[in-house]
Amino acid sequence: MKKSLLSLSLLFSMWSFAVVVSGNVPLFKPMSAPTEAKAPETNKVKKAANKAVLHTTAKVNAAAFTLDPATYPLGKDSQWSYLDNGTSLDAVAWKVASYDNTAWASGAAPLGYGDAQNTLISFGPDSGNKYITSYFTRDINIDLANVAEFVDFGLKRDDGAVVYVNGVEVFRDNMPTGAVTYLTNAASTINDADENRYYVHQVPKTAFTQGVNRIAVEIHNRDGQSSDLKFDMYIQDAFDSSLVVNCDEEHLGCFTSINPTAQTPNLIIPQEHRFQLMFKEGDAYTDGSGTVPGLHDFCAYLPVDGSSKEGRLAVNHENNPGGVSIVNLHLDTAQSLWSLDTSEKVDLYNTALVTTNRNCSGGITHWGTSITAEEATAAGDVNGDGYQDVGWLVEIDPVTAAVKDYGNGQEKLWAMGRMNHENVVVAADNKTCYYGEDGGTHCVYKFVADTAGDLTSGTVYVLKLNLGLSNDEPNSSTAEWIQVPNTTQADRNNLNTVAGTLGGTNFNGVEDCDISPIDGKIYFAAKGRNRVYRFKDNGTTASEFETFVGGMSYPIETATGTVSEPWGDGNDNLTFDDKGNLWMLQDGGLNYIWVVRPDHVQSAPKVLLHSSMPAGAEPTGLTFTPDFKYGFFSVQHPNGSNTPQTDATGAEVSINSSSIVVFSLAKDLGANAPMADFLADDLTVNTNQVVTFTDLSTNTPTSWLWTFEGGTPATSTAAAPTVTYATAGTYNVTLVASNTTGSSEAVTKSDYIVVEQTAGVDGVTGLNNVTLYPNPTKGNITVELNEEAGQKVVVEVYDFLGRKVYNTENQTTGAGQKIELNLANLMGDQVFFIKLNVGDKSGSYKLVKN
Amino acid sequence: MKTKISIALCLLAAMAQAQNANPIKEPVYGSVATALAAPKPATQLNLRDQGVFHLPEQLGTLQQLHFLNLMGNNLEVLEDDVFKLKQLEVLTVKLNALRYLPKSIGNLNKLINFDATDNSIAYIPSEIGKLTKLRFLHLSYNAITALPTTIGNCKALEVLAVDNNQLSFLPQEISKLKKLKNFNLSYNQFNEFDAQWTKFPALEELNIEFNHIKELPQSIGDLKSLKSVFFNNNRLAALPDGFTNLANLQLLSLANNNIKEMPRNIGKLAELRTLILTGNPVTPAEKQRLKQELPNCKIYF
Repeated sequence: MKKSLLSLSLLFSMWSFAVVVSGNVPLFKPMSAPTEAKAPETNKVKKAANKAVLHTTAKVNAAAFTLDPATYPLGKDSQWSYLDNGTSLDAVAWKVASYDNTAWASGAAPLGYGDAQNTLISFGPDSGNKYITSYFTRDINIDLANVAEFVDFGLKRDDGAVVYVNGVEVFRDNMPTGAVTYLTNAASTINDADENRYYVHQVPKTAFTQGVNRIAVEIHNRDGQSSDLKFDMYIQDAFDSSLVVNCDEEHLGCFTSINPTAQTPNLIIPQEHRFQLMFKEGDAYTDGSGTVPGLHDFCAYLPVDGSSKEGRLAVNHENNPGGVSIVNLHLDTAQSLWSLDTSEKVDLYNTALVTTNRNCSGGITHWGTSITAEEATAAGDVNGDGYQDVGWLVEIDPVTAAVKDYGNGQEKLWAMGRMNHENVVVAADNKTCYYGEDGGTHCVYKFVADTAGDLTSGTVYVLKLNLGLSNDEPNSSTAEWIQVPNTTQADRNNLNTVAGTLGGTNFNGVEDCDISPIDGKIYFAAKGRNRVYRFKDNGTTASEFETFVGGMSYPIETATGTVSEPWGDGNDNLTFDDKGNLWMLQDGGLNYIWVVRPDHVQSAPKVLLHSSMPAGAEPTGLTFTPDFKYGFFSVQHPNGSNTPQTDATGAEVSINSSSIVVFSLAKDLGANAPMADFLADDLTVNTNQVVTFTDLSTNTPTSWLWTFEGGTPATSTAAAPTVTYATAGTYNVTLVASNTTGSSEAVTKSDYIVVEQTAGVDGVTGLNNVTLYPNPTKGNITVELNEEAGQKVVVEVYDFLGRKVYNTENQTTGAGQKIELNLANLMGDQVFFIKLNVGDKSGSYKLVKN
Repeated sequence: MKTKISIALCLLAAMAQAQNANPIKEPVYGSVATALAAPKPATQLNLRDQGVFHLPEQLGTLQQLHFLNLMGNNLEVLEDDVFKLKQLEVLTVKLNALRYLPKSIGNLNKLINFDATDNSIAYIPSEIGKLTKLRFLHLSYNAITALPTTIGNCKALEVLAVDNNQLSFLPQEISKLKKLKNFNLSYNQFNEFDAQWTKFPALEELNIEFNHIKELPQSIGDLKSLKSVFFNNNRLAALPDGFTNLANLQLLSLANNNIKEMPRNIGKLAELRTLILTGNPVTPAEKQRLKQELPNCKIYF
């Protein structure tokens, strides 16, 4: 009965559409007695309707019933031709493009019966003996040049399937091995969420031919008494390299997963990371207004002038009375530690605002404010302004630590509606916001502001999945946005109730919405469904709705091997980093922070386990500094008995009341041994020329150990040593820098110093420790002869061509053992050679004049 | 006019301080121990989500408390200590495991705001009628089958939320609540809309969604202050003509009833901006008429 009603409603909607599209002549005669409709007739009607949908100018002929070839890739919910009349095609070559399937019906996937579907197909006249096999085909036009080496076939099948490309079987799923006939049952029964999951099979590109390919699928029921059957399939490139996070470079999101664990009395984070504890419940506010309340929740880092070293935290307190703290802080770069400068409460208790309650998560705007979400809707209008006192989003200016005033005094964001607010994310257009309700309607909402950067007026929509959810999995990938009235105070006070009445989909605890910087899709956590869903917003509709992560176990690669860990319940706050990693904070399960790579798919998981909260605590409200080096989150309601551990300050801290944690790669937080680095003032020098080395090591070294291959001295412990090289060649330099924390790795720069034999007339013959400076020179040069005190010296200067251009005789070096020369009058900028003769010793030295 | 408003706001400001904890004005303590150690007598105490099964010792000695939040614990009984706190103005016991309210609740006669949402309360004692200063009473998501007749003595009540209970009738005395502004009866077992419920001159919001109401009295039009009405998911076949006397009505939800036609003079609802009629067998001709009669109203069919 249910089925026939569905068929009829489908029939009528298709009929009216067909008439509209074809314009003048109905494609077929209206049925005088619709109640007489039988399954085969229904299919005929659908054929005609689909034809009308697909062709703007209707042609009333048999060929027009076929679907035009799709263009690769093929999405979910696409159109398929199907044969559902109980005919066996065992003896028919139906899987190749030459087979004429123009008599087949067609409709949008998912196709099937017994559950929600876009196209209802027939199981035959006997519900106790249903057809075992239904056939589906779709032609796809493929340009092989634009297809990846491997192609994903994402198959939703209830129960079993065999899939062919151009007549060749490419895979089967939940089917027995060996020959398959029309009467072969699926291997096993598919139930619950598995009925709606897509099972991905990779097929090599070589399975396709250039041009039109026929994709053919036979779906087999488990037996003739099965209550349902379902089919959909998408086909797309298997691998999108643009989504892969490159961990060759250091990044906060590149770490080794911790080992799965029940909660312990300590915070556990990856070996590559460190944390610093701050702003603990019971700490004094610096403005003298008392102590920090507990139940820290959302934690927004709001940079000062875009800085990743100076900013403000807006910290929610999920309490009654609720509240928001503003904390000014900066990175002490000498110590690599965050330093709290001032802290105060936001006044949310004045006449205009009355109070705030259960400040849960929130959001950050691109114009530098934070938004706190009141997850409470107890009625009451104490100040008589017509708006109920709680159940709103509230925008806070962190600079003034006051609620934003858009010209009407301080007010909550009435136009976004009253509900059990949980969070909000603002899109890059500064107009579009996505948010969800945790409680009440459990819907996903969209607000589009009238004016960018001003959330006090705009339009609200609620998300409605076209086919809803079954066992927490979407029945199709499409949805629509239904406008929810929000013009009057009555509308705004009751916005969630109305949205639920208008058909918004209940996602059972929408905890957070966020937007991926990689694909632009909207991701949201549905706590009661233990899943993070995602979708693409198309304005008035949404598409590509699917489960991104959750509802299953994942392989976690830890330092000691790969282990399977269930996603568990309680997925809550979501935050993306700049690489597109999704950080999920869990309120439930084992209270982990998880990280999901942007190229994660349920069939090829890429899930990491970042941290385990100390006993009794859940993590909340993660945000990052703009450079994504530091993450801040709250540790909410840890046990009072948690035990001490060392944080990045080197102190023993106990996470035994609600606190803020900042974490980063170890190198960026707290005392670290130096990372050695250095520079020489000249990399190519003459023999005996002085080279000065400069230490560039990080983390404030206090001692140094240099090794100068071929140099004098051969080692040094100076901060800025000077070295000479007596012999031409290329030499390594090595530095180990140390501070109180430890020593760096030895850094060797190979072949770093190139020492050239002094070119000239006859080279060095016994003169040592001679230096000329400056070199290059404008004209004046000083010649130092450190071992030849009191001797007479002959100085000859030769030009580039070996012509003597200057000479002095019987110069004495004096007490300073120096001779001053002025070559300013010599022609041009060129290389000169200076020859020194001292007794029976001589030497030539290259000099550059410019 | 503006002056009047600001004077009113100033008065309200003074009142507002009393009905909600103000952590800026006075400290809100997080434990009895810290409250007892405070330099001045503690007035505000928040013991939310502490997982306790019994009230902490010495709670009853905090005689100056006017705000106490016990939300999210495991209390099965409200023990006597809490009723010693005679200065209490705000008491929240939301999200516990209470099965009844003790008679001693009547001792807390300074209560302005009492929230016992999300418990398993089946019984409300008649002593609730002693709470003559009570303005906000939240009893949603319990198992209440009846309210005592003395509820009518809580004459300061502005908000009465008894949604998501098992109520099928209310005492006649309910009509004595002349200050009632917000009345939530949704998700109960009401089969009839009692004519006594039309005697709330201040009522601005009435929510009876998800009940089994079949008809409304003509006198519903007496609720002159009504701005929002939720009758969706009931069994209404029509609205009485008197309904169109609700001159201030802005939002009307009638979704999922059995309404074919709206009252003839529906156009009198000049302030109506949102009308929800989805899930009703409204004829195309009636839809057309409604659009013409209510040009300023967004109508959902």
